[in-house]
Amino acid sequence: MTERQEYQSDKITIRDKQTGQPVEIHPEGSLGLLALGAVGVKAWREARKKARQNSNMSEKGTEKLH
Amino acid sequence: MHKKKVVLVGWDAADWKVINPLMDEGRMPALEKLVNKGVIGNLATLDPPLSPMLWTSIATGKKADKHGILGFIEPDNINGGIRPVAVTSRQTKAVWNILHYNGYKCNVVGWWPSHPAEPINGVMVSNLFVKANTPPDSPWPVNEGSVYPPEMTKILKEYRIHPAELTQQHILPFIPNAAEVDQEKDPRLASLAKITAEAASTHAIATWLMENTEWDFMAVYYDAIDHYGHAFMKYRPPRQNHIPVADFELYKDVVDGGYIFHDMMLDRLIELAGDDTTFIIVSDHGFYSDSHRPASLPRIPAAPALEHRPYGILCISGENIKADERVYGATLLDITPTILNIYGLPSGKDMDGKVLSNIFTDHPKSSRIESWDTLPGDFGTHPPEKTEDPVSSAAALRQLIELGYLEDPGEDKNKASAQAVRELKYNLSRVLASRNNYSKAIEIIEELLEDDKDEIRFQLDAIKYNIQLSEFEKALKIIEILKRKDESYSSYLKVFEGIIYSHQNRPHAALKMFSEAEKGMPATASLLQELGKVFIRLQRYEEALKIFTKVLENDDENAYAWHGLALAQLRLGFIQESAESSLNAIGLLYHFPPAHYHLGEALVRLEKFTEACQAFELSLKMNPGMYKARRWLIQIYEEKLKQKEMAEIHRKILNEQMKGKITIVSGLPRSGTSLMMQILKAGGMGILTDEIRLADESNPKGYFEYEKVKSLPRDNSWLHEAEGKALKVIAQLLRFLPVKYDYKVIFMKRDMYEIIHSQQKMLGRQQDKFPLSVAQAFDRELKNVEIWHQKEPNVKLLYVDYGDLIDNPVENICKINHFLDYQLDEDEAIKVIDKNLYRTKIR
Repeated sequence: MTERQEYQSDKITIRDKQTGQPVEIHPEGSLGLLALGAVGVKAWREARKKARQNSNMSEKGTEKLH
Repeated sequence: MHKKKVVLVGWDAADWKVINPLMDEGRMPALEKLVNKGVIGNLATLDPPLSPMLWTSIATGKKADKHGILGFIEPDNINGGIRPVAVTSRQTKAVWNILHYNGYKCNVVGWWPSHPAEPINGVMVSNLFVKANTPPDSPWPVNEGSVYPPEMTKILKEYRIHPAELTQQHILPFIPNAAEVDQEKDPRLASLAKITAEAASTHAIATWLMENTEWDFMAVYYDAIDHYGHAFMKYRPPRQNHIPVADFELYKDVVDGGYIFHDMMLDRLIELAGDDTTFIIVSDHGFYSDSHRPASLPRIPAAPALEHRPYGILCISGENIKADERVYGATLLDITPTILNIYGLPSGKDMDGKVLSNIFTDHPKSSRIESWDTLPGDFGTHPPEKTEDPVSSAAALRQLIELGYLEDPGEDKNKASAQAVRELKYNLSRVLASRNNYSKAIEIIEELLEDDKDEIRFQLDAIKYNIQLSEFEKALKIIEILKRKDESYSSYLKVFEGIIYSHQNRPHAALKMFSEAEKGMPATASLLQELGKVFIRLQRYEEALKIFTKVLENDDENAYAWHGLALAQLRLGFIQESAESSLNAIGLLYHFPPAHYHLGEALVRLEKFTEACQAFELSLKMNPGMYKARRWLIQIYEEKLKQKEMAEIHRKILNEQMKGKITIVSGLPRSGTSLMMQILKAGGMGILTDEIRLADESNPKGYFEYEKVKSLPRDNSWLHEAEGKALKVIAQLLRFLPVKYDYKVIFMKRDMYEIIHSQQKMLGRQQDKFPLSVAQAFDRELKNVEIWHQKEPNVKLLYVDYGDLIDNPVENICKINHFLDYQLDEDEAIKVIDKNLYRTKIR
């Protein structure tokens, strides 16, 4: 909690305030993303959705292999 | 010129006592940034400290008897039972309605209460929109009427976050060992998730509106700090003895984590608002975070409010706001007038708050209109016939029950409705008492007691209000009933008895009662303060000083204790310290006339006459009846500052205030009337005397008589000369006083044998002979005085026993000063009493 990350919104790309580099959004989310408000919530849900899709695809791929 | 933009952020229950250490550690950098470039201060809360009432006061500048929001719930007149309090019950316009009327675009998110959302020029999202009381994986419907304009609902509902969505990433910062919690048995983790999710929902909606709509004014209300407090403050370090170590270790970081989360959200609001925006961060009350945390709460409605500290926070930062300064004496009521002033709009004369003019570097001109409520036009309010959908209120209601604010009403709707009405009335009585309108407050309490004679809250308030109304017998009667009912109340009731004695100017009896109470109950701040006040009355200043110091050691934000300490220091000659203590009291509670007055006294002693005048002027502004302050001002302006005109202004006001009021000192000859005149003169009262009769051996300090009094039976045309002053009139002439004036008569009583003896001596007659016929005549005269007093409505009479005055000067001077509306400087008055003059004493 003490070392909080800082973000800048650029549509749904979240960038580090200091480096300007895009920040990787973890599908589990973070308090930092919630604190970013609407943009952070949207980015988190997209990351989560993407992770779920990848997980589903990976499961399907495994099925095919078998 | 660019448009003014203001963001009002409400953090329910935020408290500087938690914030300051976090800011010092650099853990709340966003707020710190605002603090450093703005003004901060305590925001005094109102009574009762119940959030919907308080947030409505913040948004209207009015107390609850005017704005009409009187509690958490209200009867549901359509479906029966109860519902959460709705904005449709508000009887006056909120700041956003006034801004709407003046063409400003406003967004309001989550304000309590704001359901159903009002049709303002902007977007309003009600306090019910984010409430998440549905189970995971089930539909989460939107409460009807919770968004205006309704078409925004589709977009904004996507930014609501359900507690079930949160992951360990959101929980671990608050509870690092969350994995150890058995969620089947321990609901606290779920509670944390719900509080956090709702705060995040509010914030996401607010930020979306800031980014995607045009706005001039944003108001965003977050309730989470209050909810974190009620659920987890008990676990915050230092660990309290009654908290199990395991619980402490698990939950000790939640409250601080909550504050830090809010700081992170604030950072985003600042970023989105831009540099030209004025930020106002407020809380409605504080939250006890130290040794004042109650170990348990009584089973009464709204009991969690007992955890609320009486000072919230205020931070204002922006263009034209002073940097790094403190604001003193602000209350919740000042927020709306100040916001209107920022926009160059007048406040209403019917508002209870004031513009915080000291916060501005260049104070914009402030003006006032009679009322915004009476102006015709579109204010973005609901039409009068609008009613709320009670079904949509159920979730919020459930939350209030879970938080412990409300008793679960069960299925009995009628009972619940009656309970709600009872609480609304009770809260109204407290608001009226906070306005010193005790007669109205007691009317309500007595009505409530008719239906519920055993309710302890009502009984205790009935005692308090009766004391304030000087209905001591009524108060004592209730005390007796309670004593008989439950012995465990005994010590607490003794405190009330002591307060009654204090009010009756019987400090010795009060002291005895407080000392007895102290043996049977914890030495609470209020008990110690009462003790301190009695020691002041008894001029036992050293003891008073010790008591008030003890109170302050435990709570250095107790304005009354600082004032008591200031008074003790002043009387003990610690003048500089006294001035500082008074300033501390004023810093905590600005509207505190006696503290300003005693600061003035200290400043006179420090020969800071200009500053002293400012202090006296302020005390008079708050209480124009403080005659002593006006007398000081006349003296200082005349003698020290050589401002004769100012002195004259105050003299004129004083004369006007005293017009028609005459103080009469009366009694039989040789009963001590001259002594009483000396006392009044030394105490600072004006006296009417011509000094024709000079001092002699019988009255070495003078007679203080006025020759024209002797002609009273045939000529009273001169009596106007006595207005506002004291005049000596012997008992036999009292009945000739004309009815056109109001009289306060101090009637001296003395043992008849002593009177006759003294008269005989004065007349050079034999003192061993007792003239019985004279004594009988005097006795008749005393009876006549009583008859005269009873039939004259313009006469108030106080008997003072001469012997008792000599033996107990402190109690008697207190009593006299109370009778004279505290016009006297008691210390000076007491100095006059010289026991050596009591020469004709019969034992």
